[in-house]
Amino acid sequence: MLKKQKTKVGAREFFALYAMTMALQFSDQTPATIFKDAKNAGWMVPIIAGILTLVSFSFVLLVLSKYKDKNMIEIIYSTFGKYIGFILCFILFIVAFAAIVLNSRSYVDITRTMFLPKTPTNVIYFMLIAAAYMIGRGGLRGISSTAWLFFVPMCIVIIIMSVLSFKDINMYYIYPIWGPGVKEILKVSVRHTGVFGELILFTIFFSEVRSYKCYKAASLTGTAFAIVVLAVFSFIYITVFDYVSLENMAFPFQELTMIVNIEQFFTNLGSLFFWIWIMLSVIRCTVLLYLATSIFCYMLNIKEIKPLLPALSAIIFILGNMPNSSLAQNITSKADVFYQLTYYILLLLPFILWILSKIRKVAGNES
Amino acid sequence: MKEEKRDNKASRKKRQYEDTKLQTAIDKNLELFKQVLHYPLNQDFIIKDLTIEDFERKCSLLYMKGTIDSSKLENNLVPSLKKINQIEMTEAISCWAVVVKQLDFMTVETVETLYKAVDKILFGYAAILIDGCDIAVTVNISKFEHRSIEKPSIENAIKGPMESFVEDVGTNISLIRKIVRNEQLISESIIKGQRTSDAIVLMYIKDIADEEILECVKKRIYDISTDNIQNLEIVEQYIEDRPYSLVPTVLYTERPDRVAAFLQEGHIALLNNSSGGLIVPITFWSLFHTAEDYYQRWPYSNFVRLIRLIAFFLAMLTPSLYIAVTNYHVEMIPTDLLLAIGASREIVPFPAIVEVISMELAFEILREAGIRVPTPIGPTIGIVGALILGQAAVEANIVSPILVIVIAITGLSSFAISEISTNFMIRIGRFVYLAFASFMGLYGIGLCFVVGVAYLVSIESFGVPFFSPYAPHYKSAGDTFYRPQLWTMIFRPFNIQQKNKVRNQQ
Repeated sequence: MLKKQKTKVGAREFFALYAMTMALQFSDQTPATIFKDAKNAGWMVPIIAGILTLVSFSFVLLVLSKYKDKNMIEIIYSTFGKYIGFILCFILFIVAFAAIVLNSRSYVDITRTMFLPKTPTNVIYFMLIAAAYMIGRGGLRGISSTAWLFFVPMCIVIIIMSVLSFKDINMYYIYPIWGPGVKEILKVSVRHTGVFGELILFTIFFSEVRSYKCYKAASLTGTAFAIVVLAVFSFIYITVFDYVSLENMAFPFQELTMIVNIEQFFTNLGSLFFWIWIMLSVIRCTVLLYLATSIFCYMLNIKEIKPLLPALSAIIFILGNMPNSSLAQNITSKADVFYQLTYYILLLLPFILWILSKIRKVAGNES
Repeated sequence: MKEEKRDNKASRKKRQYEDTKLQTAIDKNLELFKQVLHYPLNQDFIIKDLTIEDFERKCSLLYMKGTIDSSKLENNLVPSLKKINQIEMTEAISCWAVVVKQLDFMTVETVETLYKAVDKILFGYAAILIDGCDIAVTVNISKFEHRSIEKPSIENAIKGPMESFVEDVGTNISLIRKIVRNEQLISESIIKGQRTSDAIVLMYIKDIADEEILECVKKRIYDISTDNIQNLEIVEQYIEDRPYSLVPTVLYTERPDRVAAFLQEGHIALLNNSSGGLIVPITFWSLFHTAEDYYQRWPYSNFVRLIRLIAFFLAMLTPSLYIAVTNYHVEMIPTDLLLAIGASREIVPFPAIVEVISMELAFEILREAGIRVPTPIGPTIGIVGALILGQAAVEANIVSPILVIVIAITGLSSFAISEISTNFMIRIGRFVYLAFASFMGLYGIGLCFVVGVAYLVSIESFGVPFFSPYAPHYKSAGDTFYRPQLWTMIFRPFNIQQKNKVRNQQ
């Protein structure tokens, strides 16, 4: 009995995985890309995008409830067949892989520009990827347990940050409440459903979670948590900085940590928050690294994931080190391509999957 | 080389006697015993000829001095042997049966082979040889000298039981049985090597302990390659999960009450003639908690746990945080304090990292010296240490005053962690953090910390994840960082066992 439970991931750990990967986006460049389009109504975008993703995710849940022991890749293969299935899986892999490369590079940029200006980028990058690889060696179970251990510190940071930024908030900045207009907000929200892309991508871990019930509970609560955190922080950014200055601000969270203070004595809390932030971000990097590696392995039907981790880490290190990978430098072009690629897939794939599995079932019943 | 040869010879000799049966003629038997136990070279081995009235046959009493209780020998054994009379003797089927009957108030066993008889003699039994019998009667009159039960010296407590284990397995078992009066409490002895004296006693509560883990423990003990196990401290190193790791996977405790508490949760205890017991499997929480956490009232013990948690982090991170902040993130320090540190460091010629490493080294030397120093010279260590580490080093401009505070806080915090292995883990781990801090500041410490936690999560002690039941989550009483009220702790931790999930409640 002990052994059986040991190999699977429980609901709490899986929830932490979701919370860590989706909610932590409040602290990187995601809000900056949202504010660029949604202006001062940017705080609504996470809510609408989250709900949209949840709608499409509900179709995934319907499909998953039929396949008890299969992960997403196996389901795609069995629904779409060998060739189309492979193409779809490959696109999923590209999405996950791009996510880890862009995100890890973004963390390195934040670290370098804000805190370690004299250290070479590739040294920082190497340390980050090496750490992510070492955590990833623990497998999904190890990563998710680590994420669960760091979940409480994350909550504490979130709460402290929100409380400390209270006195800098100017409520008038959020008006006009609809910003660029309702239609525009909806458009932007659809384009930014990629923020919650992990919700769909994590389905490939479905067979490693203890039960369907666990999976459902963890994913829904995890998403709800992420929506709340992202919305609250977007709100704080807007009311503290105003959207005009936000448009030129690549790292709003770090800027916020720089301006908050506790009385007269502790005026520079930036480094302290950076310390905790980097710990959480490394875990997020690990999750994305492991996600990309898992999709790659399942796609090619490779059983062991861990031996491929160092190879993928090395490729990510090389790709991320290329000058053009920096999200901050070309925040417009690259991110847009990336998000466009993702939102089509993430919004449409579940629906198609569901319809196809329905048709298959009907066809299966008739024959 | 020579030594090895002798060893081989001895073991061959042992094997030679393994199947030797006892003879009927007493002289031949005595000759065999003399050969094996090196009589008269070994002066502890005593052969006593008995003269029993009305008893025509020759009779001998064999025992090893130093393993027996001479008062039992003189007051109980010999007088009752003397009382045997002829009538009984002639009526009985064989003489040894009469002797056994006469001594039935003591622990009597009969043996047929020489090897077993020698083993018994070494274990503190007296062997009675009777002419004409090919069976030896052995009587337990053993008594080994050991300390009396004393206060625990490592795991001190203000409130709670003050007994600790001693170097006698019987006493140790009795100390546990005194607390756990349960018909399900099993003590099973596993004999390692060729002698029963090497036995390791496994204690567990049968309807709680998990069979899988129990099998795993037994297998590891059987797999120990050496045949002479001196004590549990050595067994620990043979059976642990990661021998090369800084992280301990077996708990060594000297408190019987702690062992009893662990038994109730489904752990397994290993006992031997050692001044401590081993607990397997363990989790991080077993190392973090102390026995007193449960004896103090709820608010006090939670306060103490919080202090211990802070001490845990301080002992591990203070020097590296100091290096990181002063070298990489100067803006974190309030301006006035920064100026003060700068002023005090101005006259010091070394970089901060050299200062920290030299002071850490001095402190570690002081600690080691404090343990090894003979008691009469003990107090000098304190004086010398305080002078060198504190005043003189500062006055000679080798270190800055703020660093003395850093090292003092680190040292003090490390004393708050009483478990020896954890203490070592933190003390050595501190230098790893120091290296990363001097290399990359808070970034290095952060990465190192997460990798460290992920490494701890990956560790399993006898198949039980190290951070369970917190991460991965299992149902339990929730006794991790926080100690719940005792009456709410009704669940046994599910990560250890799932046979008997709820504690018996009235």
